[in-house]
Amino acid sequence: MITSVAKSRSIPNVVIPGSRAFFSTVVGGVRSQEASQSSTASSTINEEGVWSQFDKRSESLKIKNPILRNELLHGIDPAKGPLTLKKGLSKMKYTSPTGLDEVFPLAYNFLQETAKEKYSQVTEIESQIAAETDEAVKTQLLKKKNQLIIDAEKFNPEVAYKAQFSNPENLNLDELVYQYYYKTKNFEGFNKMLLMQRIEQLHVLPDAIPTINPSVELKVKFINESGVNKYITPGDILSSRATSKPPIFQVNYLNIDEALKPSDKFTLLVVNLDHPNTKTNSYDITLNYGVKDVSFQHNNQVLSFDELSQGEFAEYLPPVPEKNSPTSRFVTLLLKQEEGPLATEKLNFNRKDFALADFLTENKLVPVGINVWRSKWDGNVKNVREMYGLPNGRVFHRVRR
Amino acid sequence: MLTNTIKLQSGLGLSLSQRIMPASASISSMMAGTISSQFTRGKRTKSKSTMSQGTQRVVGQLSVMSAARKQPLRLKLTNEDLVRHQVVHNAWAMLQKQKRQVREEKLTKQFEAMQSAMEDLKHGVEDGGVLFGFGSKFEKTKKRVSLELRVPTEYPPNQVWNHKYSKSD
Amino acid sequence: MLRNSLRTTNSVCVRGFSTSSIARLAEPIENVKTKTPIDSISSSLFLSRVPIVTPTLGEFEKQYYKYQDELQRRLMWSFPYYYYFKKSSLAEAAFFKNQKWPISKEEGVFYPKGTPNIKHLRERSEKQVINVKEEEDENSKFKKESDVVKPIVPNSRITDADVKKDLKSLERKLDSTLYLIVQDKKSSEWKFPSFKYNAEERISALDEYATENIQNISQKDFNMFTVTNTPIHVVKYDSSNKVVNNASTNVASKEYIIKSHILAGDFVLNQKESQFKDYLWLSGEELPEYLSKDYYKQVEFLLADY
Repeated sequence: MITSVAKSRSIPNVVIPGSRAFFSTVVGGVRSQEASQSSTASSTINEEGVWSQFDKRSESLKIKNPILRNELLHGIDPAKGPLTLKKGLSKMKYTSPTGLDEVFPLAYNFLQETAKEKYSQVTEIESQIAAETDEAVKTQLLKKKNQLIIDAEKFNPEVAYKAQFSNPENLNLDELVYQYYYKTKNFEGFNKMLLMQRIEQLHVLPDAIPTINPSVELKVKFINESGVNKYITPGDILSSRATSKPPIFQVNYLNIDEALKPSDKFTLLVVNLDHPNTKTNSYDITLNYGVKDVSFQHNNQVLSFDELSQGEFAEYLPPVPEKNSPTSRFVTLLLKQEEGPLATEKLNFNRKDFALADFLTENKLVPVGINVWRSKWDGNVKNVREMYGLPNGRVFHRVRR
Repeated sequence: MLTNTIKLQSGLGLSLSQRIMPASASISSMMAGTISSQFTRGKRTKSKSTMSQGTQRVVGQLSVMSAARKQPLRLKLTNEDLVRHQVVHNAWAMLQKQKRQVREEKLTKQFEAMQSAMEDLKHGVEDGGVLFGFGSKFEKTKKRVSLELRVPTEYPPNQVWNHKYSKSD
Repeated sequence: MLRNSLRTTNSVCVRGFSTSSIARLAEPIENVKTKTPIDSISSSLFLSRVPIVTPTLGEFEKQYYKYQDELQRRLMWSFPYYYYFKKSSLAEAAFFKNQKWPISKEEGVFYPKGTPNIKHLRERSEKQVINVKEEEDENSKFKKESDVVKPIVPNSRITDADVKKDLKSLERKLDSTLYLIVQDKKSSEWKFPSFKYNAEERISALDEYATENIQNISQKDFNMFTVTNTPIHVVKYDSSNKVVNNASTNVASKEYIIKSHILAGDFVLNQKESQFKDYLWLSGEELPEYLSKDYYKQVEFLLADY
């Protein structure tokens, strides 16, 4: 039971650890030049610099919560405690490391100055681009400009905070700096490695396509009453109930060097790599879903049914694996159409025995994004078949009958 | 031995001797392992360890190097402070990078200037190559930096500059 | 690489350097068709006094070091006092007397800044401060001892010469390199001291010629260290004695610069016996005030970092 509070006034002998007066004496002798010189009055950050001119820059580069923004730029108020700590006790207990509040404004102003220099270089390059006619030089300049914009913003504390601690799904990936952070930290730092491991272990490479270096993150999510409302981890085994309705997709275009153009068209395919074929004693690829001429207005775009229905050339067929057949791999591919829009009448394919490789070469499609999930037979397959008016499934046995 | 006896008689006994003086190494090691009914100065009543004196000393020395019980609590920063720390770190790295770039540029320029001066000395002077010969001559023994060159210190020495130099010395 | 290539003296051309960037400053040989006569050549001396103290830190650097120092102290292991002071010894008692102990945890007390967590007499959530200074005791018999150990007071980084703004002193601007510049009697222009060759005399090496001449015009002796016998730069002039900046202009005279450091003694100009009327020791920042614009542009990159 607490009988008293350790305040120097109420209990004379008790000193509160953590209070500044706790250790008053410093080790004797002169340590260094800077210790002997009395420190000047603490400086403040320049709030009229390039990082604060929000009339010229996107609001997404700003932290919306004014208290959090204030803490980030001016330090934590010891009377109130940090905002990010929830418990009152830990708020009270917390102290910032000594010296941080003094050095931060100087560091901030220094970095802001270098950012200002980079922005002036950007405007210079912009005028060069406007005057340039050679396409190759233009792309080179554009590349340089993008890098400069990233370099000017990546050390901005507000940007760095948002990139590290906010929900990556809410990041405005149209801002190059967020694209850079998402690409290096979230995608290449984790998601891409996981994806590549899964598609190699499941032999999606080379069963579906020979190889791929995804420059686009393709995320798949099934929304229905039974499914879990989150983007699937590549290689998940999903129930037939969850996959009974078409998925929605999110596409994160992460190619910083090559800007996304609204004229770029993409094709989206969902194929099953393991449809058993007893005649050939092997497996066929079947086409479960096909959409063409998909375009993106902005990055981080979610593709749902409405947007996809226009270019649909193969309606969604849910996974209905046969009983006792091995787990089927369902691969989602995002393909860039090299030669603009595709004509429906020219598309030549057989859904039941889909020649994936030929389809890609015929229509000049280049894979840029990939994802995979797995399905196997469960008790609900029968209902899904009824829902879509599909014939009864087959049952396989250890010895073929 | 006299003092011991007195203490024993005075009844202050073990507690006092323990408090005032630490166990003398030589005496206690002599007594270790022997059963004695006689009181010995500095002998601990409760021997906590069965380690010998030497081993105990080694353990003490090793404990100095060990992190056990000496590590401070982990420095936990909130997200705000972590980002603020990163800003400081990045600014420092940026400053060092800028300094390095300036220095490298300057060194390249100095190297090139030496080149062009020598080139000029070889082809652009009417001296029959004498100056170029001198300029590109190297002593067989390595030229050493003079010992009298001082390394900069944080504060100046008491005699800032030696004004009393004489050639005849 | 520099050494090896230059060692090839007269027989092999200096082009032995295989750097592509040479072409930028080095003139192509074809352009140097006109050879300058020896009496239009001078040896110039780039004499500097190296800094005596470390560079003065900027505000950011100062605060950064302070912050890092605090972090390091916060993360240091506790001091193993039991190893250095024998238990119950006088030394231990003296050590304990000087320390301010952290408060320990007590039942029923609320600690707003966190419950004390003490190991080896150190509050683990704080940096540990060890006091080593002996406290002055008026009644102590050993008072004299403290007289022996005087507190260390460092010398000031700013000297009298700085205060008086004595531009001829070698004791000014201790934190930066000083360069010797001299004023010509005829043209009144400030330059690094340079000495023209005489066609009738025997030609001596550039470094020897400059060193000898500078010592001759000084009233006092001084010791210097010439870094290399290779010139570090060449400054060219046209017939009207203006600095030549581009390769196309005709060159009338040249100054080869030799790099050297003054080590001891003073340079005091003997005005009567020399072609110069005044001299100054200036830091790199002050040079542009005195040197002509063209000349400064030519030698700017030779100046040290600080």
